[in-house]
Amino acid sequence: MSKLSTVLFLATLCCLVDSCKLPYDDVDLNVKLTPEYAVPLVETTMNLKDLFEGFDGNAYLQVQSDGTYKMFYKSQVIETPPLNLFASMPEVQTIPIVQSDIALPFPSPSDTRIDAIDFKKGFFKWRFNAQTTPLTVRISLPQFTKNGQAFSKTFTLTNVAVRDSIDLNGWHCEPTMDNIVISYQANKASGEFVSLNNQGFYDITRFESKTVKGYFGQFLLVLPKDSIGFDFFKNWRPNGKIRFSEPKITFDFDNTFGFPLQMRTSSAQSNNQSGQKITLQSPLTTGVNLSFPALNEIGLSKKTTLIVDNKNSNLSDIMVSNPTVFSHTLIGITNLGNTTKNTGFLNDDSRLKTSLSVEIPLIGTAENFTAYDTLVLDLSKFSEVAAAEFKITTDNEMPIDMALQGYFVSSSGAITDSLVLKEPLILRGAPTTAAGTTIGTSLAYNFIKVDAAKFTRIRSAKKVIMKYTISSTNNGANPVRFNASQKFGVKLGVRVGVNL
Amino acid sequence: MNKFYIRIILFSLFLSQTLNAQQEQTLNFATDLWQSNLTNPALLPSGKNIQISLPSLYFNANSPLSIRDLIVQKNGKRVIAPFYGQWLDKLEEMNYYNGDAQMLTAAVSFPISEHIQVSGHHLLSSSQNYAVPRDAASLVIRGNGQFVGTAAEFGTHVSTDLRSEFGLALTYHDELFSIGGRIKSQNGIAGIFSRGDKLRLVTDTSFYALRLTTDYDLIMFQPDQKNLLSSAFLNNGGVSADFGVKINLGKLKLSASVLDAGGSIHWKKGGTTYSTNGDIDFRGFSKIDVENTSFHRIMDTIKTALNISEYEGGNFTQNLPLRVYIGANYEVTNNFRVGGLFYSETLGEETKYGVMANVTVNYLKWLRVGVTMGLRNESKANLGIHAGLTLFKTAQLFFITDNILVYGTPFATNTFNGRIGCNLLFGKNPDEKLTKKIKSSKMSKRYGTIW
Repeated sequence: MSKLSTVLFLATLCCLVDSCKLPYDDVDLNVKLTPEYAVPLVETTMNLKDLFEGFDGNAYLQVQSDGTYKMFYKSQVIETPPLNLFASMPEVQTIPIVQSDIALPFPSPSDTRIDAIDFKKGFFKWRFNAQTTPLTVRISLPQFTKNGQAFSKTFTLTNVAVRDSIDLNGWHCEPTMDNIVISYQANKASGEFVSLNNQGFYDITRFESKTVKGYFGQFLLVLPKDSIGFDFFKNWRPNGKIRFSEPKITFDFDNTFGFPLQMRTSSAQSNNQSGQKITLQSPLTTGVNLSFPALNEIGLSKKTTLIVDNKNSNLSDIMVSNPTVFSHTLIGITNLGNTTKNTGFLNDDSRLKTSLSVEIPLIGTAENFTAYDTLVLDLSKFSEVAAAEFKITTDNEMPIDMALQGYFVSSSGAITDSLVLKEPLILRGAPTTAAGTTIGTSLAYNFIKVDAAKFTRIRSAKKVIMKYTISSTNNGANPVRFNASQKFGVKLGVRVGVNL
Repeated sequence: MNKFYIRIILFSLFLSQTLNAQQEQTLNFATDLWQSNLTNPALLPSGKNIQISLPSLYFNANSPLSIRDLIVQKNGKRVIAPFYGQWLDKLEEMNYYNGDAQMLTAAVSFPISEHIQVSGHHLLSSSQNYAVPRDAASLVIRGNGQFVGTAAEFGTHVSTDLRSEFGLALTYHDELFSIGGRIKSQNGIAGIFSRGDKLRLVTDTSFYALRLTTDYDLIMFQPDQKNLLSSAFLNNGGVSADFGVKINLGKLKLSASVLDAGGSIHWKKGGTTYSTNGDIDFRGFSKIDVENTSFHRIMDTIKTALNISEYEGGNFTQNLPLRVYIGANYEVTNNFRVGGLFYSETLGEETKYGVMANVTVNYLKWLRVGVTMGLRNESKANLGIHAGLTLFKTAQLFFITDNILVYGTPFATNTFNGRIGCNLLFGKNPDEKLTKKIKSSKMSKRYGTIW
């Protein structure tokens, strides 16, 4: 009994020791967890204004009082350079004193008539080398007045040589028959008149005017070339048809020239992605007369607004060509038709400012309007991801159907795969009334499955070219209206299989 | 995946199976060991009346699935089951694990009078209590894709500790009965406890928006590295008491005990609290940003949304389970004894029960062997064994387990339990004197004697 017990006891111990050998030494430990996570990616609501925030440049969207949108493109304000009628005057014009009263031709351009001038800058100088002294001398410029007093200066010549001048700033001059009169009176102390002829000179330096009144003839004002880019068409590189119901271009002229001015386009044309050019035919082709301030309105600005729309131009042809840029050069012709040479004025700050805005009310139709957008992509950030299924929930209050497709492009430019197999993803637009006003919303659920094989194909992609094919509700049959209350809600989630 | 982590995961999965609390019951029948006094302070070992217990170990874990259950054949290879197939589906909705480990560092028992025995002990013990929802394991291994349109409850209850216990017991005994009591001073050394236990993730169907509802605190207590002595004995105090009685009815002996009555540990030092509370919604980003989106960015954003606050400090009251032993032993012959035991363990509103039958044979003078058959809540019958080996009449080696069959195939079992150690015995045998008294007593003449 004792021996048996001992044997049993030892056998049990052996079993215990043997059994403690780990049972998983040959287990394949090269395992990976492959959980599937379901996570939300994006929840956002956009309206048209949000979409426009991504645009560069000069486009903006404005909500009208009735809630509808207008898309605006506004050019820069351009203006004429300053006009100086006396720019061609010599620096100094010297007139020898040959008689006591001289009628001097006023130094103004040809085909002009100067009725009056207010000086801003310039000097009238005199110098004598008298043979007899002392003398009392008085110089008079009867057409030059200041505060109602004509210019007169009296001085005593005690030395043989003397020179002096007067600053013309603030002086008013009304030439007579395009002449100004300069006279002197020289007397001895006894009152005896003494001639100073050939004993002196008058100098008139180049002057500038504050205001000039008169008739300035006919000449051309050429404004710098201006162009306006249409981001909407440029960014989306569309083709297909999109027709806006009421587009218009507004030219605003802000004129402070005090004489008749007629504006014309020396060139005005649009250009689209394919290089097609269309010349704008509008009232500016033949000329538009601008308003201008009258003589009693010096310093005021007169505005002229010209609206170019479908009724007075070929704008609809331009817009339907999906223009990316519109360029124009304006010229102004002065005093055209001013046969009576009526008096006008030119101020030192007289300008013509022009600006151009394009308004596109978002009312219209679209039919297979196709746009492209390129997104930079780096799927190497998703190295753990084996496969994914995206779920897109859209809540569309806008009257557009959108078909969505994407093309993955490798660094070499080759298309490696498409986002959606075969048919593109359809996001239905909201239904509309016959007048194009939306009623209700359109809900859609879509899935995009990216299995392991597809993920392998697209992993090297560096960008994805998104293709949007847009048609207004009812496939462009009726014009539709966009307004500020319309929203496009997107909820994007993903079920993603991960290798950990 | 790193081999080390695989093993950690395997072991964790083993522990996270449905388990039943299982304080050792067989020990109650090993009446020749001083350690049986830990189950009833009225029990005094037969033999010499001075016992010194050298360091001994106790361990206990129980699982409905074995480690080998976690390994399956797939495509000719042995692979880890949770990563393949439908293993997770076999889990219960809530999976409990309770494990214990104990090291009795020292114990001494000696008489201070003819009828009174004094015992003192110190032990280090650790207990792990986890309630792991199936959803939690499923969420980690399979992700939340499976929960679209439903709620995943993954609040995991955690209560794990390392504590130090000093005990001082007095036992009065005479020929008819013995009665004992023990007062125990508890000190928490380290622990991790959860409070609230509410973590719910709802994944909606429209675009997988996430809502996390939380009311969950995790409090971690660590010992002060600069003052380990204080951390081991003074920092987080508590008291509990054991009471026991044993009645000698000749060959029949009845015993009953209540352990850790009113016991609790108040953790208050060395704590760090991690807390999350409220409803957290994650509905994705507000802009489509293809260039700057990555899987890590999404996950980081979700983690940030969790808004877990961390602060130093935290209090936690850890209640100790109340255990009850009620047993009976009958001496069939001098070397053959049978017995039965009822056991319960109550913590909070939860009570678990067990019953056990025992046969003990004094096989040789130096070898005592007992066999037990136990039944517990929701578990199969277990065959236990307890054996005591006395060498040179002084050194007492012992081994006890509630389930001996596992030792042949430890990685194929779902139950693991054992106590192993050594006692030194000195002094007189009080039984000789007591036996004479009992044999001359009226009760003995009526019921017979057990010696």
